[in-house]
Amino acid sequence: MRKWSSGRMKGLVATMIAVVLATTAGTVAAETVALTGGTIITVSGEPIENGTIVITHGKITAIGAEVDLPFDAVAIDVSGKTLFPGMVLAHTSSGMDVANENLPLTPFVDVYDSIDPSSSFFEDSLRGGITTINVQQGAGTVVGGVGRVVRPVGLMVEEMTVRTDAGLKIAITPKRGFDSLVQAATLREAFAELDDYIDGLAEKKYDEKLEKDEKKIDVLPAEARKRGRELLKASDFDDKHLNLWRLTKGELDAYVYCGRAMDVARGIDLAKERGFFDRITLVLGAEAFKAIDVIKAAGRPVILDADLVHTEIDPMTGEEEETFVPSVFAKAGVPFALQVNPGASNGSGHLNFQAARCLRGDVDRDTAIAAITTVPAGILGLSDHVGTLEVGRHGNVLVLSGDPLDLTTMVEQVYIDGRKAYDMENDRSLRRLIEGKRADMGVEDADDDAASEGDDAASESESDTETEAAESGDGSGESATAEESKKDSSR
Amino acid sequence: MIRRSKLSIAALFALVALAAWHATAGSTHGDDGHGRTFAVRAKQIVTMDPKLGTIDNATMLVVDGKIQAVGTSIDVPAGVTVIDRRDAVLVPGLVSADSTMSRGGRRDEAVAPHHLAIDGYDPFANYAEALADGVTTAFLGTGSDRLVSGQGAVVKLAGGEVLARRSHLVVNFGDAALRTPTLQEVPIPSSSDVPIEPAEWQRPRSRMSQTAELAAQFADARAWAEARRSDDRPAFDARRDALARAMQLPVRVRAEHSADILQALRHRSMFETPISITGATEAHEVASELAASGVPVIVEIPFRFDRPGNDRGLAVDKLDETLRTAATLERHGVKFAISANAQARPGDLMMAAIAAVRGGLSPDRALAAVTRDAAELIGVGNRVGSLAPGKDADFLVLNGAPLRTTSRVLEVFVGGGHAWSMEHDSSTLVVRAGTIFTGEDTFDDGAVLIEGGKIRAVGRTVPVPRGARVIDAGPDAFVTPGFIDSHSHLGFEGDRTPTEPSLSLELLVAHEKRNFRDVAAAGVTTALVTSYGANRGGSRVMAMKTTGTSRDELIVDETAGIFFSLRGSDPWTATRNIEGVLKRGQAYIDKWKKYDDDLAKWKEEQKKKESDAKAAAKKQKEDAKKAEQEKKDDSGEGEQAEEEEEKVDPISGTWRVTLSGGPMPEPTSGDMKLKLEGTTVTGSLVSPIGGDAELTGTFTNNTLEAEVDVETPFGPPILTATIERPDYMKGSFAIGDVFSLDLEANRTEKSVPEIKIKRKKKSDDGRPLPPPVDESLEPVRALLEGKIPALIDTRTVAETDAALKLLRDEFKVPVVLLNAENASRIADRIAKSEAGVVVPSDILQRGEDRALHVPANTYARAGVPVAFQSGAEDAARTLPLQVAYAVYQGLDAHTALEALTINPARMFKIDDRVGMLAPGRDGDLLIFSGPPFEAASRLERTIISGKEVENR
Repeated sequence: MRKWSSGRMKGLVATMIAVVLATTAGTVAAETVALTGGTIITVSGEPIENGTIVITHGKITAIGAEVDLPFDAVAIDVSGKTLFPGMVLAHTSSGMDVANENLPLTPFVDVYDSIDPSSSFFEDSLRGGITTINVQQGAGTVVGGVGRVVRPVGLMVEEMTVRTDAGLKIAITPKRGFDSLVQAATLREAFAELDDYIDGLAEKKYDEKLEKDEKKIDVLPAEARKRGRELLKASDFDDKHLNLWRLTKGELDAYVYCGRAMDVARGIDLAKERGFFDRITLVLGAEAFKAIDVIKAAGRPVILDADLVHTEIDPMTGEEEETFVPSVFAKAGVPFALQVNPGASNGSGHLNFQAARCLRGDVDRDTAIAAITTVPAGILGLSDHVGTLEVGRHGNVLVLSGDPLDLTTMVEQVYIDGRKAYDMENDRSLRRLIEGKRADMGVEDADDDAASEGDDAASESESDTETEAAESGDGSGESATAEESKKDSSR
Repeated sequence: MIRRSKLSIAALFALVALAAWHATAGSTHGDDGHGRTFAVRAKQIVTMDPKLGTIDNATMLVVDGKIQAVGTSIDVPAGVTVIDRRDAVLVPGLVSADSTMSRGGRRDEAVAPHHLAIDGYDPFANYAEALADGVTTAFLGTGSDRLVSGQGAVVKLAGGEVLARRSHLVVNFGDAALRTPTLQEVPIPSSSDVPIEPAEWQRPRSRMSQTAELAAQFADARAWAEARRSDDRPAFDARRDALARAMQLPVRVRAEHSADILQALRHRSMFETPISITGATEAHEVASELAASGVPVIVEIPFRFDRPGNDRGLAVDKLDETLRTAATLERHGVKFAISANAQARPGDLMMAAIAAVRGGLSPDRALAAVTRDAAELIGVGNRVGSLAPGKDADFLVLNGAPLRTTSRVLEVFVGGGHAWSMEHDSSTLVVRAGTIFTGEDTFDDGAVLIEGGKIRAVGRTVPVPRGARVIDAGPDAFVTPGFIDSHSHLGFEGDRTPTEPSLSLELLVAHEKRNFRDVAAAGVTTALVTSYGANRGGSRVMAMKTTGTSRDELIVDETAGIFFSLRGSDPWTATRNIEGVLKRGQAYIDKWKKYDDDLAKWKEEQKKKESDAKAAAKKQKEDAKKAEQEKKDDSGEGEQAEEEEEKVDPISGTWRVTLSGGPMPEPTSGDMKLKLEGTTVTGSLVSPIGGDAELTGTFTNNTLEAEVDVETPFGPPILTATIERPDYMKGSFAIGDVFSLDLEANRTEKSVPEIKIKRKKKSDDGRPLPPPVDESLEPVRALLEGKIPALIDTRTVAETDAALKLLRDEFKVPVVLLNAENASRIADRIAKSEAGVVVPSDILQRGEDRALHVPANTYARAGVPVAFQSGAEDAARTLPLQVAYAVYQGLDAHTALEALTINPARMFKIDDRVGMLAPGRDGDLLIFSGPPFEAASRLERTIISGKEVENR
């Protein structure tokens, strides 16, 4: 079974498997919560009208139209609301102090050291109903570090962590200052150098074994290296080579960034050549859709760029051609996960907004919903834990004012592992955005930056809550979302 | 024939679909080869294969993207689509032996063998610019600024196929490589622990060091690789590893100056593999050394064709020399290819070859240098570079011979797939032929450019716009304007319904019928049509095209003439009828003239008023007011005076009218109200026939002439009456020439009646209103104004003479005699009166003297412009044959041509659109395989408005 862990370091290296935290101290909901009367979009099955979800010890224990409430359940009436699984973001480079190292080859780093629990990104994610987030190093690298799956709640990274060791970042698209030739040469060099290192290590290991067995050298060096490879353990490796070795042994996921169509085949070829093809997820740029045939043939999971529209100018005619990327994938029958554009002012900072845009691009509703729930959950290896509302899944539930793909829908409450992590009623930042002024000081909110700083520092007065309650109706709708995004961008 | 053209259209659609698919998917992945099996026919296939050579009227069979057979008699398997490109020349896709399409690599490393050009190749990129100029295969270089800049690759520019991932090790000698930058690794952030170290100079810095450095690098890599194979392995080094591997590849040494070329030749033993020299702009200086060494050369034509070259001042001008490089190498027997300037557009390769031809290179070698030889030099000669069985179906569809600046790439096929095609205006067409008859003169070896359906240029040379389709009809071909059938009933299909002069034939003719196309395909592009039931007293003649896609294209002139007939009637009576029509026409014109005069007068008055008003405005305000007051008083008096005058006028009032005579069985009566203002009479007639009609006219010399506003097939009735005594008038009430009634009228009341006139003579501001348009008189008006001719059907001398007397001598309008079979006796009289003759459709006629003669000949000899007619519907398709018979009977062929083109165009004054090949005219022309009326000549193509008429 899965093992508890609160840190990274040697312990997790030994397990070398994904560790899923069912609960973490501090966020555990001790009580039994029952959300009653809402329309439940289970994602896994048919919607349930006027249904009830019972969450006990952070897990869903019952779901349906006819559910007996346990005697100790705290019943929360959500009638008229829509219940939706907490959304899953399969890939982001936000929430860190800096997304990239300036060295091209850094398989030894871990985003753990960089994740900032107080980052506004997590606050915004929670507000937007994203409850599971895979934080990965940025694409400005050749081989980057190891990522981590977190919840947007908690004061420490350990508290936020859902899964450690969540894959290595590899970029086929040249990082800044590199071109395709240099990027490819560097990548080749990294693996060639690894081969050489492993050879040396294996030979040494075999020699040691001979020494231990008090045997004399019996084979040629090449054979010794081959035999030595069988003896290698993780502890034999230095930090620089360990993760790459694990990768080539298929023990680590890889997020392969292919910003352009021409990168896709190269990424796939590299993974096949180096033995980690079965564990790659393609993180695509907008233009990569042109390689749809290669992508489809590969059959590996796909994460689309946050920019859903690719624009290209014909060199001969100067005509601009726009392609709505998700529809290309939907038409080809390739499942995909969506990303957000953190802080974007056009709404693309919200996963459900991204999915709703897919509908306009003739993507069917199930595919659009899967792209923010089940598909990313599968990519993160958390299919049995998040992404749907079923018995046994984590109690990650969104209470929405309406349909998740309706742009006027507001996220009213967010439950993470059965515990209420967000309530719009108490979201002072959002309310202030809607009101357009700093309620606690009674002045016009002319400067967003000043306001958000003020938010952190200002002491909260009781009167806030009253005005909040008055403002929290559904009527605020789309404009509120827009304003919210506007605020996001200013951060 | 039909079946084939349908097939080729289907193929075209398939290819367009394929191209579209390529454009969206941009990939060949998943391509099952469907659509890559076809045959293509062309005027010429330049195979570049030494054995096959250049084949005229050839077919190439492509199976699954590979060429299976090329030749004149290829068996095309059943079911294989045949693409018809019978005007086109096929050449192999061009091979760019050097390109910078995959630029990259860190410029600070002097030796970077581990950089692979293939890593910078984007199979999804749009290479349309290169493809548009015919480049289908390219060597990707890695830059020329470092001693060893990496490993090249060879790729196709469509379909994404990589022919060689690592094809050559690229070594650079000379100026660029000597400017190696310093190597500097700046730690970020730097600190006292991690200082910024001094920059390290890299070698080479001089020519003597470039070979030394290279040799050292090679030796080092070799030694390292050797050591790696031993037990005591040195640490891994990507650069050495790459160089050790790349040493197995052929080496390309970039050397522009002769010194560098010689150095490369001297030290070539350093390389384990064969070398080739690229750049080599000074290769002509060391041509013999190159020839002796057997080292092939890729000559760069170092110009950019799109901008001026550098001024060289006092330096030796190498421009000519570098142009001659390739020619010099050819003379010395050096194997070479040609590449375009690295900074030039990738597609400028063809132009580079053309420039080399300017420098003295033979055209064959120039083409080989960008196709076959280039492919062989970069190691892909077994796949591309020539069109021979087994090779990839990479070829260009050109609209003319290769290496001509006027030849353009129309389509590009790569691997049998449609990779690019020019978006072209299908009506932009250039026709070249050995002889061109423009209608006015004939010249040899000329061309006609048609753009947007109109002729833009005719001459010895014409511009060839991009995308133009070019038909090179050959030296024997004879091009004429489209033929004109000067009298036809095309489109009436036996319909003998009488047609009135007011009726536009446009409404009657059924276009786009099969028989139109047959007539067009026979060479008759314009027909002057009359209806079978044409009114002998002046119905319309329409000039129309035999095919066209819009009204503007189809209808040349809705009213190109007015048809009269004297045939078989008493000339005197018949001419009186026509005279009546003409007189009414004259009256109609006069009305319009009056209107024009009135309008001009009114405009002048308005102007004067305006200037008066302006002048008045200059005066003091009060003065102005005063003046106005006075004016008002004045005018008031004037009105009164007028009223008094009216009281005594002889005509205003109510009249009792009695009509009698003519076809009326008994007299009828009605009331007529009249009001006189000046000489203008307005009024109303409570018509005896019933109803109330307006009446407008004039009262002069005691005579009332008025038109009654009633629609009749013969124009409005005209009322003419003279006051014979006070309150009594007598006259006639005539409807056209058809009948006339006697009119008597007595005034019953003298008070000026209130007359409500719907159609006012003057608008509110006094502007005169135009008289009503009379569609039946409009053609007569045009005739009288000399804008259209009268087409008058006559047979005998008497009829003809009467026609000429009336129309030429009296009314002096343009005349075209129709038929005039028996009038050739008075050909001189006809010539004198400047009439044209549309000769009878029966070429041979038996005259009054019972002797056979050819009227066309007789008239032509007398100097009468003649034209031919079919006088039928689609029988016009044999008109050219009839004319050939006339030539056979002795008609001058030139006259015959004129009689089918310029003559009728001028007779009917439609020569601004048809009948001649001149700028601005419609793009109608015929391409004959020889002189049009020669026995062996065939009409090869009919082109109408720039579009080819499909030949049954």
